[in-house]
Parts: sequence; C-alpha cells; structure tokens
Amino acid sequence: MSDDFPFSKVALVGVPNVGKSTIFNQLTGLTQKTGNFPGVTVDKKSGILNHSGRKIEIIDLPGSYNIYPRSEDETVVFQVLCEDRLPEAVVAILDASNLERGLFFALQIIDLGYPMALVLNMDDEALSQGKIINKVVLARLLGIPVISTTATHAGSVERIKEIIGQGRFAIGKTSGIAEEILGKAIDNQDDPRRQFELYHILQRIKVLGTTHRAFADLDWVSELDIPDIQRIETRLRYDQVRGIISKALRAEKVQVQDFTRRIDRVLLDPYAGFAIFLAILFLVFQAIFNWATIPMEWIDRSFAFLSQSVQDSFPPGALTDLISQGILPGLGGIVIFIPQIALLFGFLGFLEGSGYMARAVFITDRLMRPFGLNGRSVVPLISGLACAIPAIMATRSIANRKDKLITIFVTPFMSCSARLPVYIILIGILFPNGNEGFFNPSGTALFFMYLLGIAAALASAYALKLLMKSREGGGLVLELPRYRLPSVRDVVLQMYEKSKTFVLEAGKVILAISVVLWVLASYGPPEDMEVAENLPSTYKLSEGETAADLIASRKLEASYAGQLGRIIEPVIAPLGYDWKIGIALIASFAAREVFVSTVATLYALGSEAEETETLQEKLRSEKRSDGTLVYNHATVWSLLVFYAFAMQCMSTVAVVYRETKSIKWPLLQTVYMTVFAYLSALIVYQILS
Amino acid sequence: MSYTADTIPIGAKAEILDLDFTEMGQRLSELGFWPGKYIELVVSAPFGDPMAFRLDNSLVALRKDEARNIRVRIAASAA
Repeated sequence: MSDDFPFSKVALVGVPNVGKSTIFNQLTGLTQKTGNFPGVTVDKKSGILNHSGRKIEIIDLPGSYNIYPRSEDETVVFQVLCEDRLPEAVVAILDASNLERGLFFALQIIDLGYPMALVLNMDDEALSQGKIINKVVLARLLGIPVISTTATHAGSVERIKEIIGQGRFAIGKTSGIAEEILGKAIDNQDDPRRQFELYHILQRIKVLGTTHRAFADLDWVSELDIPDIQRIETRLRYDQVRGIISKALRAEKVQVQDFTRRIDRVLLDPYAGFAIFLAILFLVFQAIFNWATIPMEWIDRSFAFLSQSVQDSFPPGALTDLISQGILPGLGGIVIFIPQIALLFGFLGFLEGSGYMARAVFITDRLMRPFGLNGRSVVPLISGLACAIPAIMATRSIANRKDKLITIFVTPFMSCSARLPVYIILIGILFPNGNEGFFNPSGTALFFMYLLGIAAALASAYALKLLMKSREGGGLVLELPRYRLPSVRDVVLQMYEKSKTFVLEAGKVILAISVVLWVLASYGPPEDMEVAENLPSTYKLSEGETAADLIASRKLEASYAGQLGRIIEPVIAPLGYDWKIGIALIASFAAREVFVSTVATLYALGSEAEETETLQEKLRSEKRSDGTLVYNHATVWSLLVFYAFAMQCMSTVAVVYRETKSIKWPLLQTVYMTVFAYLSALIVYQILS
Repeated sequence: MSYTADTIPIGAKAEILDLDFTEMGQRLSELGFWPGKYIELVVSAPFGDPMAFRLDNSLVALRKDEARNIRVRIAASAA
C-alpha cells in the first residue's frame, strides 16, 4: 500500500439478513481474520481484498438497523463509525426488496460524511416482486454510486470489487437533519463538512448523554432532550426515505409466489413447527454426540501414535517426556474438539443461512423467558448436552449481552458427553447388574443425572436473571427473513473460521493448563518419587497385578498431584471422599473423563484398563483403613452430584474466557460451579450416610 | 375503535395509528412500524407469544409486550 490510495480501509454495513456476510466472504475469502473489539463480546471480522494491485482491508461490521445502538452488535457499529471513525470509506448493502429499512440506515451513514457506495443486493428478488428501482435516480438523490447485485451471481461481486478497488466512492448529500434539530444553536451551517460534523456530534450526544465531558465546551448541549430529538430525527428521516422512494421506486402489481409464506405455514405451525424444530435439534445433537466420535477417535489415535513415536525415537529424558506426555497429549486435547465444533457450526451455518434459525428462536422464545433466557439460548443449551465447548461458542448469535452471558454461564451444567463415562462407572458401582430390563435402575439413575444438569442450568439462569442488571432494553424484535438456499461457501468458511479461532485462542490456555497438570501428576519430591519407583524386593505381586502398573500407581500417589490430594483431604472428607478421590478430582480438571483413567492408575489397574467391570469390581471392594467401604452408596451419589455440577473442564474455562473477553466470567463461573457442586455433594452425603 | 397490536386476531390486517412514547415504541418506529402503514398478524408462537407481523414486505417477530406499543385500527379480516 505504498501509493496514496485514500480508501485502504473499507467497512461493509447493512441491516441484518441482506446477504452482507456472503458478499464479505466473496470479497475476502480465506484472508479473513477474526479479532476482538475492545470491551464487547462481538467478533471483529476483517479480511483483505486484492484488486487493481492494491491490498484493501475490508471490515465486516455486524448487522444493524440504526446508528443509535440497542444491542452489543449495534454498539460496535456506533463505536467504529462515530467514535473511532475507523473506515476510510463505507459500502452500504441493502436488500433491494426492502428499500425502506435499508435506506433508513444508509442515509444516517451518508449524513456522517463517509465516502460511500450503495449496493442493492438481491435485485432479482425485488424484480420478481414487481419492484423496479431506478438506480440512476437513486444515485443522483443520494449523491453516491449505486450498483445492484444478486448475492449468488459471481459476476456481481466483481462489480463491488471494482468499486472498492478503484476507490469509486463519493461523499453523499447531507439531509440537513442535524441542522434542523440543532439549528438555532450553531452558526456557519452552509459548509457541508460542518453539516456532517453536526450530525456526528448529534449521534454522540444521543449515546453518551448530554452531560458527557466530551461536550463540556458546547453550552447548547445541556438543554437538549434526547428522547425528543430521537423522535424528531426518526420522523424527519422517514420523510426523507419516503421522498426518495417515491422518486426512485416503481412498484408494479404482480402475483407474487410467496414460498416463504407457504413454508412458514408448516414450520411456524404451533404443533407441526414445534415437532420439526425438535427433530432438527435431535439431528444436531446426534451429530455432535455420535458422528463426531469417529473423527475424534482418529485424532486420539494419531496423537497417541505421535507420542509413542517421540518416546521411541528420542533419547529418554525430561525433554522427551515433556514433549511426548505433556505437550503432544495437550495438543491432542485441543484438536479433539475440532470435529464437534466444525459439525455444530456446519449445522448452525446452514440453519442461519437458510433463514430457519430466526424461526427456531421465534417458537422457543416464550419457553425460555421465565428463566431469563430467550429463544437464541436453546441451541447452545441443547448442544451443551454433547459438549460445552462448541455450545458456548454458539452463544455468539445472542445479541443481548445479558442473555448471552447467562447462557454461557449455565451451559456447562448441561450433562456433556465427557460426564458419561464417569456416570457409567459410578452408577455401575451402585447397581451391579442394574442394566437389565427396560426400566432398569441404571438407566433411571442416568436419566436422573441428565435432568439434574438441566435443572441446575435453568435454576442458575433464573438466579442470574434476578442478580444481573441490564443496560440494554432487551426484547426480541426479530426479523424472520425470507427462506433461501444457504451458500455452501459461507457454511464451510464458518466451520473453518470457528475451528481456527478455537485452536488459536482457547488452545493456548488449554495447552498451558494441560502441561501444568501433567507436571503435577508426573513429578513429585525426588526422594518420594524414588521410593515409589523402586518396589521393595520383598513385595509380592498379587494376582493380575503387574509391576509397571503398581509403580505407576505408587508414583501418582507420590507426585505433587498426590500430595495435593492429601492436602485437600480434610476439605473433601465431609463429602465422603478419601485422598485418592482427591487426586482424581484434581486430575479431572483437565477433563471430567480423566477421572476414569486416574482411578484406574491409582488402583494399579493400568491407565489403559478400560475394562469397566474390572474397575467397578475393584472400586466396589475398596476399603478404608477402618474396614468400611470407600465407595459406599453415600459416597458414590455424592461423587455423581459433584461431577454433575463442578466445573471440571479447562477447555470450557478457556473458551468462556475467549467468548467473554474477560477473566472475570470464567473465574466467577468456576467458583460458582465448584461451590454449588461442593455444597450439593455435602448435603447428599450427609443425608445418605 | 382502536386496539393495540397484541390483541388483533391471526390473519387480520390493521392500520397503524400511533406508537407509544416509549423506548420500544421508538425502536419499532425506526424499524418501519410507522403510522399509516398496514400490518398483518401472520402467526403466533406456541402460547400466543411472540407474534409474527407482516410489515411491508417482511416478517417481524415481536413479543406481546412489545406489540402492545403499537396502536392499530383493524382494517380487514381474512377470517
């Protein structure tokens, strides 16, 4: 970018559902980056357009109806356009068949004085509805270039590229609205730049408030009545929009084939629509719960193979151990989530792109409201039954900040697939041979555990609703867009982007924690470790016991994690746990299912002893020093409840950190869930024992 | 006889008379709910809430208490 090209940063703006993301994807393709806007949980999407030998940064601003912000998405638009004034030019994208709503927003941006171009997208749909837009007249009335496109037609994006690449932007005609509202107070109004400045100040006053220090020098500001200004501005703006439309749009009466309406008759039917929604949800759930296990298995094996190869081909030592047992499994623990993330976002991209997602929100909104959630929370919560990681990433689509945070906060309570192996082992201890018959005790207990998770999620959401204050108005106000065929390119790009973001951002935290946990479990005070490694020569191995398994068990007991287990024993004793369970609890922070392999190692069964029954048998007969059973009913129920509620998943912590952009939320959540789990387990144990 | 938009029957068309001087009323007016325009209640979600209104060429879902901000006059009924 060596030449003096003045438009090397271009923002795309538009109201929701105008096909803006599709255009952005076509302009930038794989050059896209997902970054952060400071202070909000909205992604900053930008990419590079290569055209005419120039590299131009394209910023995709979130869909917004108005420059005056009412959601986090709209706050970002306001911030970028009015506070940071980041872009050097703006491309406004409108739905040609709903000119009014699009112009309402685009005219506000023209009034801010940005060099602009206007894209009338989905021109073909407008034509089929008998709407003929005179682009020459429209361009003349607005004072900026106007082109029309069809989002799916490849040739039309070339024209947008040309406009941006050659910088064919123009500063539009001011509406004079700011002058009309503030007029009397300001002088020197003839200068058009002054008009834009004035409109800019007006928008900032509305958002920041009349008493903000930014306006301390402007004595006329304090007399303004903001709601009044807002009303007048809307009225003036509508007059302007109508004036323009009456000149530039010709509507012919045609018999419209309204497919959307016909599909909606089924999909929005209170009964059939709801059944279809449940069926779709079930399919999504199946995909992340079951289908994903196949590629996850491959990833698991590949990393095990890699670790083994490193172990075999490098000289033994601390560094080899670190790589093969610490870092590689840590990396594997990150990559393992990609199938679930990609699958969920594949489905979501399809549902969002087709226009169905808004319908799903519509039919579930009422059900979620008593719990302080809205229809947008349903998909993340149900996905949480498979895995909280992609589920929490899916909360992105919740526009209201409070609803989003509540959903993120409670999603880890949903019983994810990692809890299943723990539940199965523990329930098996409770009910030997309990899985016979249709209504068997094991199945019932498992079902109860899932209900418990859902109940905890909804109850916590309700409590949070009462506790959290919201600055936003909340509300639903949701456009149900026309159905259309989703773009495969958009869906695939989203799957790729989400996986990449997870690996690069949450991955760092996961890797760091897993290495720390590995060190804790593999190293200990040297003298203790040495004792552990050398079996006394008098020791006699009992039947089925191998020396290697026994040493592994003794080493884990002597490790720092083992020491920690002993340190926390007094704290967990009231829950019915001994120090060995304490070690399993600490190791489980990596991921809940680690409980199973840790316990297997502790009882010298070898961590690969996935023979569930052997392990259950061992646990069932394990006794304390006073001869009582360790895994009695009270302890097992207490453990079940603890695993249902506790935050034992560093990946969730990492992803919450990434999604909320703050250390506060993952910390609060971990403390809340741990305390919740501790108290519940305490009550359960004390009642049952 | 005037009503608020949350009370109109499914399939009925109504003319918008006015919007309440509330934050929600303001927001709806910016979305195109504007006196003189016609809206039609297309469908309600289970439990009658939220409601989907046809406005111009689009379908907009509003909760009942949001729709209450719109004063309307029933124009014609498809029923």
